[in-house]
Amino acid sequence: MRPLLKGCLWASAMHGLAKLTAAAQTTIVVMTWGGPFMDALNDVRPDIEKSTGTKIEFVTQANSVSGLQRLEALKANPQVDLWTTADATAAVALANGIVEPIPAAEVANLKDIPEKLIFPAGPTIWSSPRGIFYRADKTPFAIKTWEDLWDPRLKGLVTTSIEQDKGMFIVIAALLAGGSEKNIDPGFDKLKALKPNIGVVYKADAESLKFIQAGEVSVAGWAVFGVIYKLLEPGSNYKFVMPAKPQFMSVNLITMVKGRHNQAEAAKVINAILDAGIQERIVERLGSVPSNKKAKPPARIRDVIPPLNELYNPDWEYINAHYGEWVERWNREIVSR
Amino acid sequence: MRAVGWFARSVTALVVICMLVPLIVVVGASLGGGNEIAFPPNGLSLRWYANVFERQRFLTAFQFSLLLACAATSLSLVIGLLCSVALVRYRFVGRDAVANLLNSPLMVPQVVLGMALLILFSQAAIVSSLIGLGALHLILAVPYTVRVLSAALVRLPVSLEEAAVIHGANRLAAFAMITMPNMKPGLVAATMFAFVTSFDNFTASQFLVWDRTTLPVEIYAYAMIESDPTVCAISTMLIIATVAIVVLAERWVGLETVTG
Amino acid sequence: MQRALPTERNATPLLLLLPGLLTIAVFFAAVVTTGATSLLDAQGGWSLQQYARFLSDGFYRDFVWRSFRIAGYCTPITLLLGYPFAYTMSRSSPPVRLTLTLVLVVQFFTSYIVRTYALILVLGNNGIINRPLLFLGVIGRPIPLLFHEAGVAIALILVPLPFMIFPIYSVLKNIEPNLAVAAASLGANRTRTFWEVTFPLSLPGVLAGIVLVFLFDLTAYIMPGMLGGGYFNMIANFIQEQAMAVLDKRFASAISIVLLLVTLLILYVIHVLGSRLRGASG
Repeated sequence: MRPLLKGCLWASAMHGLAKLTAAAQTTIVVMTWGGPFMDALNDVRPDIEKSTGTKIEFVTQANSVSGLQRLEALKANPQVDLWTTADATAAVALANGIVEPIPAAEVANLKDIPEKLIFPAGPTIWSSPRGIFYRADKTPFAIKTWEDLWDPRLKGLVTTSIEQDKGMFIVIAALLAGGSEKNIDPGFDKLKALKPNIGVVYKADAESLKFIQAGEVSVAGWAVFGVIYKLLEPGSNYKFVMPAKPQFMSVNLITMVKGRHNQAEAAKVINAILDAGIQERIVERLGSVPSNKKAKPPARIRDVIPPLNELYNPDWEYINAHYGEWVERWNREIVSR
Repeated sequence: MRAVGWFARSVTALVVICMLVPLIVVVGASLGGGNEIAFPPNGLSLRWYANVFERQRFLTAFQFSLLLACAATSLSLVIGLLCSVALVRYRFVGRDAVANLLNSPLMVPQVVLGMALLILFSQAAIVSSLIGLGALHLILAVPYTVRVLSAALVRLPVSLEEAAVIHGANRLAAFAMITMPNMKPGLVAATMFAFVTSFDNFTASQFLVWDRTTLPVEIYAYAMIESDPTVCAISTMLIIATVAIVVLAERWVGLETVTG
Repeated sequence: MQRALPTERNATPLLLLLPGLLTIAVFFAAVVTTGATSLLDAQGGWSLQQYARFLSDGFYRDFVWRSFRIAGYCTPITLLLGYPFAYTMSRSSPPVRLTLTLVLVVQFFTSYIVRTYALILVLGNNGIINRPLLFLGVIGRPIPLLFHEAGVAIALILVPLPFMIFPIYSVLKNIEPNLAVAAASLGANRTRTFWEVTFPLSLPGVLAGIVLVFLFDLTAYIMPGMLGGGYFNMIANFIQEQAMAVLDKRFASAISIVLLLVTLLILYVIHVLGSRLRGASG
């Protein structure tokens, strides 16, 4: 009896100890996109876990907005510590009290992130240039600027979207016409002039690529580099150009969800993701541009990214407030047949 | 076998062609040598199939989708059977209303359903992919099974069962041994509808994925950033698997059981 | 033939329906949540503002009309294609039946997303329909299918065909072949036998198929989205846009409730017509 009792006590002590040590190691839950994004992050996970002493668990979101919907639904009892998302969606989340600003003092690597890439909702982790993607074999001339999209030779050949980056394409049109997001009417007038050139309106970047590959249209007026860089091998018919002015980067941020109790550890994880070495490995997979100044973009895209002197950072709060109206006008004035 | 008129046969042939053409495109594109989804494919290669197996995520997602589909299918079949018996064999106040009620999940766009369930489950502090998606798929499958099994049952007279009861069988046994075999085509159809509704579901499921994802959501995630024919390769493999299952089932269990 | 059923007074049907009703109860809770959200106006107070906004604007009503219109003409065409298919399947030799079943089943297991991409490659200006016709000089310009209503309609006719075929097939299979023989012996030719004996008996399957296909077409999202090219958004696309892009859940909820109510109405009409037809056939 005695050995058995001793054995039981010993076992439960060990069990208790194991639980204590497990509890001592916090788990940080990160919500991010599936597929290649999660692959890229899983690649660097062991290193992040080692350097921060935490365990990392990933959960999926199909896209930024379903992630937002989930966080809103879970507001009373959040299950996620960190959330990667698009900048526009992050601004909405911040305004609705879903996320809170990160404790900048605890994230040392922030010093290596350019000012322009640190948003109120959180720092950028990677970004992808927006520009024009086209097929040289089906386009009558080499495209260089945004204005080229309005060239009558491109009748019916252009595909564009306003759902990507929440209406930025309208803002670009406005900027070209002397307006801005706060003075959007010139943008709509300019878009009306573009109507004959628009062959199809797409909803997701991958869709625009499909349409171009299928030969239905040949120019994507609002393409994102991360999706198409694989097609840009030398000698390929596909071309990407980031017009000189205005420039825009599609940006993904990491944000801290409000109402959790692991702030210190979560900040460490953010710091790890912003580390130059980790950044390089992540973007190598995704074909994106790292946010850390010290990290180099993947070799194959280095030549395509011009100096980002004309980067335009829109007022997302303003856009978020007016996006509904813009969608209405877009549906009624531009997309109607 | 009764001869089938020329009209029926030509329409059938037309439909078969229309159905096969997109599938041929998918299979053809999956064998493409280039980096893009094209038909006819530029050169031939099997590397997209290899690519599927290199990605652990597809396999995990496939297993989860399969699990969900089997669970949703079996549960919805049982529920559908019970409901169709109640709706067809009994007359009671509000019967038509109940029939429409059981159909109602099909009337709401999946976006709305997905989001509403997300809110519901979150408020109930349920954060499990299995429970959330299981409930969703069950809700989506039940209308199909009820509809199909009711239509199948309506044609089967209850008098045969009653004859068995007179001869000493109990009601349940009479149903199981006389009516149900005659419902085979309906049961097969209901099984397939329920299975596919669950296995293929994307629009509503995207809201409820959490610790585990389903295959359609993974395919979507992949297609969001990559534009190669890997997704065509996955579809082709599923097509081959389906054909194999149906053919094998026919060999082992006989055509009658498979097609009813 | 079913003999007339007495109205049931005991609890058996309720017990049988219980699991189904529980499942629907969860769904119902979701609908109630949606309904509650739809009754909130922009400031968060209770009102019918969202409904007023939707119903008073012709542009919005167009979406509803367009969706019902497309679903309304695609469903009968699916019936027209599906019924002969089901008929052939039910009257063919086993190998033929197996092949036809295979074709249908395989349709099912190809994900919608991939099938829609395939349809782009088939229907597009550069697709496998237009390219050879252009090449052979049969047509001068590509037939506008993709990014036009025709392309969306073709997809909505073809893709839900299995939902039409299987219910009809399962009913046809059980119709006594002797009935047709009896009719023939009484002098009816094949056409008459079909219209006066077979078809009426298959009505439950036909109605089931019509309902499933109509609802599929009406709430379609992926196909009108991709094949319509942004020009033929149907109501589900609009709801998605409001819910996910504009993030106006309240407006999206109101539209969904309107859709639900109108659909219930139409289904009721189909049901009444169906019973009328079935009653007439005895």
